[in-house]
Amino acid sequence: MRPERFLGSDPTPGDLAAVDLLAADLREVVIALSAGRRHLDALVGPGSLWHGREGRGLVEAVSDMSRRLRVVEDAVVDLARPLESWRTGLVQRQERTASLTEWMSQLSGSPDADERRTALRAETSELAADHELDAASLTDAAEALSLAMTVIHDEPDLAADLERSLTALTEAVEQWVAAAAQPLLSAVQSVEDAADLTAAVSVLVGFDGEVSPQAHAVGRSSTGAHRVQLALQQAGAATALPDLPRANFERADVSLAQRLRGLADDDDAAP
Amino acid sequence: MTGTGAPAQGIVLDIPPDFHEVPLDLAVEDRVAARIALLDRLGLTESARREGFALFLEAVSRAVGDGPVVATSFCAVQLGGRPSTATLTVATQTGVGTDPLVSVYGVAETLIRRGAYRSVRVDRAGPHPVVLATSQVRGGASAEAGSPDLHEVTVVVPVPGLALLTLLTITCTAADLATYTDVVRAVAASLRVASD
Repeated sequence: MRPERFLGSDPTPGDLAAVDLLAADLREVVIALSAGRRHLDALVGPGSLWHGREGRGLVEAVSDMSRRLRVVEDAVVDLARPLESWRTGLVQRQERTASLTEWMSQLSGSPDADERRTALRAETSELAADHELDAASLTDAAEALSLAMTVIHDEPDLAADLERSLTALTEAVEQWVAAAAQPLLSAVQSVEDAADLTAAVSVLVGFDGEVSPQAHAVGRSSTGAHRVQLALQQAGAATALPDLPRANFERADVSLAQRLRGLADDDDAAP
Repeated sequence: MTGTGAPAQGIVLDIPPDFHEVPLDLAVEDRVAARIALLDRLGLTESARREGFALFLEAVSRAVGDGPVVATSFCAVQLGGRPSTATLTVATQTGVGTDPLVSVYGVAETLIRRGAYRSVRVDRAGPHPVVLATSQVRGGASAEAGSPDLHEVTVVVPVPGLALLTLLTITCTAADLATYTDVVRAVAASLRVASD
């Protein structure tokens, strides 16, 4: 039954399905904003890689982005709450409108029901006023969200900050590479050579494996070279392995730790 | 730091006891003693084999020399009911600056440009940002018939507060790669700077 026909106009207009759709959308937006913010916080939070002087700009920019997302998230939540309240009120008011429409329809053609009609019209006006008041609250919340977005939009350019920070970091990395790449690669090569020779030790113990040409060369140049060469030639899977203990990589040994002590003494300390 | 009035500092790493160090001590008598202890620990009793092994260890210690390698070690264990071996080598190298972010990305960029790795990535090992690089150093199509392939995992850790990098490289076969990758990551995670 259409309220306009009996009440003159609909005192409580509102599309409940559209409100439900909007509420669901807002929930999804809040979830997405929250997840994005947590991801950003984890990126620059305690335990992240992004620490140190050169990373500070990036950390600040990302933290600022997280803060802005929080502002938007809070504003969306501030809209979602009155929307939920609006929905509850809308249902109640539209039920009331239906009742008023029904009662007014029952009074049609009754010449002695003017007093009752007047009362129903007054109640209809009151209902319309409540509806408009609630709608105004919702409009205020929507305007607050709009204002929050405007404020964020007017803040310093986040993209430019990020670009500046990334450029600075890239330059610092390039300077690092220019100064340290060659010594680092030499050290890497030394480690690989030592590992290669040590792998030959495993073969000597009896493990299946290939003795590298470099290991053979070291053997040839060693004291008692012919005995080393013989051992290398006879090594490998053909050699009986000693009784092997079960692997236990849990416990720590401090012997190497002690040997490493003092190595850093001659290097630059942090300022 | 020495000479500055600050307390002397050192790097501490926890190496699993499964790994036997190749004696690299500068003093000959220390090397000899360590070698004998290693031979006994491994249960090598046959004299010719002991001699060849000892001579090769000595040759390795001379070859590694005074370079950046601090220690090299191997393990000989049973893993999953079968024999398993791996090498673990540690080196230190002076870096540039103490910013860990710049250091890890500098190291990663350097290793990527080297072009010798299957993967190079910035990661974490415990509290440290690290660069983790993997490669296959032997095997595949060029492998000698019957010889197992050999994989290498290198972890580079900027030492907190110092312009210093620690390099950890583990080599092992493909079958045990996951296990030993965890081992080298755990060793890297244990890195700390201690005052004497």
